[in-house]
Amino acid sequence: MEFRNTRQGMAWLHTWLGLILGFVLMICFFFGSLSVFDREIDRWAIPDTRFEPQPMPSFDDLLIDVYERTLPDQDEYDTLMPLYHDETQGPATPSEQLPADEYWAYTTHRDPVLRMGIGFRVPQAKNPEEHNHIHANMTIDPRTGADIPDEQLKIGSDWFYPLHYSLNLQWKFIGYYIVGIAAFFMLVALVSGIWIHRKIFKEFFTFRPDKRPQRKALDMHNMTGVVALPFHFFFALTGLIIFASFFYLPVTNTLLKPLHELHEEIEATTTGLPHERAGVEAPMASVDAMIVDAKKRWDDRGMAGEVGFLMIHHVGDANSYVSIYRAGSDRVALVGEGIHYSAVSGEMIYEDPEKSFAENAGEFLTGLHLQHFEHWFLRWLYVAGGLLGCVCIATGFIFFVEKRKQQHYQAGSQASRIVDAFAVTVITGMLLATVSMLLANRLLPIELSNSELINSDLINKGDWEKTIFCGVWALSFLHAVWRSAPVARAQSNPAWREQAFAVGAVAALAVIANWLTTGDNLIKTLLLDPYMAVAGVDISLLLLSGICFWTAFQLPKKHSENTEATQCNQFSG
Amino acid sequence: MTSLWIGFREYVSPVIATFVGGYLFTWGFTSLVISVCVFSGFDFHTAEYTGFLLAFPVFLLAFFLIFLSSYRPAAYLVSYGGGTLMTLCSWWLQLLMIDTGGI
Repeated sequence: MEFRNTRQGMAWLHTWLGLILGFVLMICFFFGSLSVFDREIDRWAIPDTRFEPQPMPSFDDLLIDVYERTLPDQDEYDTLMPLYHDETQGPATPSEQLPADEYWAYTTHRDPVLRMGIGFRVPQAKNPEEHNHIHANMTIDPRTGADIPDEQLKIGSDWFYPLHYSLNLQWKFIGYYIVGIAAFFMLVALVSGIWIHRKIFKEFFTFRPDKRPQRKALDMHNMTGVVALPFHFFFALTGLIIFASFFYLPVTNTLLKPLHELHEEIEATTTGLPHERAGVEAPMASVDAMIVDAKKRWDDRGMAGEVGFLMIHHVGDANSYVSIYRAGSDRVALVGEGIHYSAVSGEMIYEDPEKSFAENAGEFLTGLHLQHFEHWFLRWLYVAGGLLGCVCIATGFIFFVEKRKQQHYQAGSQASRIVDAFAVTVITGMLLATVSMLLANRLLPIELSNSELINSDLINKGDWEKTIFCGVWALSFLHAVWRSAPVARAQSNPAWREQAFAVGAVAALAVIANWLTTGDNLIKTLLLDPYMAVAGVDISLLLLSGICFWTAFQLPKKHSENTEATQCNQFSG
Repeated sequence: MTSLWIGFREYVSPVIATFVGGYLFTWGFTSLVISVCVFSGFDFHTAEYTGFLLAFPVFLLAFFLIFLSSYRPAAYLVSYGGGTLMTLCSWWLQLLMIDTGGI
């Protein structure tokens, strides 16, 4: 492969890598945009949790009871216990007898519910020096301590949010790697895009709606690419940095692991925070008293705040300690200012020192990506930036097809048809899967989650919602392929129009279903008893519905109209 | 089948070779930055953050330089060889620090 000049090489990279990985990037950008309001989507999906955000509840009065009554996740126990347990030392400890090693609880300014977790240790482990934990994750109502069953899927934070960085493909973490490669090639596409578009400033102001579809698509692609260029570059880059140490460049967990472990041991000595259990049982002092002290210390530093993250290490051991982190809702950088206490004596052991420049820069960048801060206008700008990314990618697909379909028609090639079918699937198909999942959430009975008659793995309400999401998306692909024959004749695919109508209808139905099943209509959630999380989701669905209906009416009804237009364009262009 | 193979050899394999070369170079670069920083007395986490903040811009630059190079075999040699060399250097530095306990 030889290129005449750099620009030609850049154009090749931009076109082909953008096309191939654009399908993945579309998913990342769209569900990344939805993730900005993941907690609000959770409230919409689980009506029982539609109450105001709560601060971290009392550990001594409420949380400890939840921890003590919670057992390890049975699926995780069944999977991991045979891997961790050393059979030569005796039979495996039953799941209900596994001792807890760490507790954590996490909340934000947008969470009415509290997420908690336990890491249970395996007593007779094959490799005792390793982190042999079997987990339990739970969500509670922090006002009462009542469990919120996991079967009621948190559609925003447990489905849409992980979709944007893992595609929800957990096997060997394959989804993370696909997204990582796509994010890297997003950077390549952005740099090469700048390189090939010399008149970048002019293109920012150029949109010619009266021109033919190919030109309109290119104008829109350039405009959206330029207007949100820093945003797109920044999010792809910080996304890579966030997962660098775990997946993309695990240097310190592989090659430099011995150095990392040596550092941890030295750090444990200098900070006084024990790295290992002492092996001596000890009772726990009042954690609430530690929280009061931590808040006082933050106040003294001029940064009064609430607890965002709480962690208890080496539970029940003489070396146990409590780490209390401040919620970072008033700053960009992630939670911090950790203060650590002996869990046995309650005395403060260590306060996190000032961070170095590199750490501050890293936390600022990741905080800007994960946006834990409280700034609603900025959150909406994030959504706008993400959706502009979707428009940029979508118009890139359309431009690709429009530019080549006549040529492919004359050559008898099916290439444009295939690309177009995939484009329909990741644009309207993805929207259809999303709104269908929300509609299913409102129509499926909640009893489905709790029924004792049904004990198959794939039967609770959350699993049905996931199945419907995937099923609708797969059907949209089949529909796009089935209706794609006109593209091979240089005409447009009617699936665009049909799926746009379907998205419009299902989105509107989801709003109506929410009203009928919960009584929460927009008059109530906006005026009578304001609850913006639900109102925001309803308004967004209605907006989507309107845009899809409008788009569907704009698209040509019959193939012949488009054929004429294409032929005219061919002669005029 | 032949045209598929030609397509792969002409278009796909250079991109893969470039990506792998760039990645290997970045891997070596990041591990060397971290180990040199720790060796120079920086905190481990500071070194880690520094390495990761620099890694992806370096990867991007390496990718473009290799892909657009007028003589790609030389670019492959520099990226694959350089990445391996830097990895070995960081490994050696790590051994030195662990042996002396000097972090």
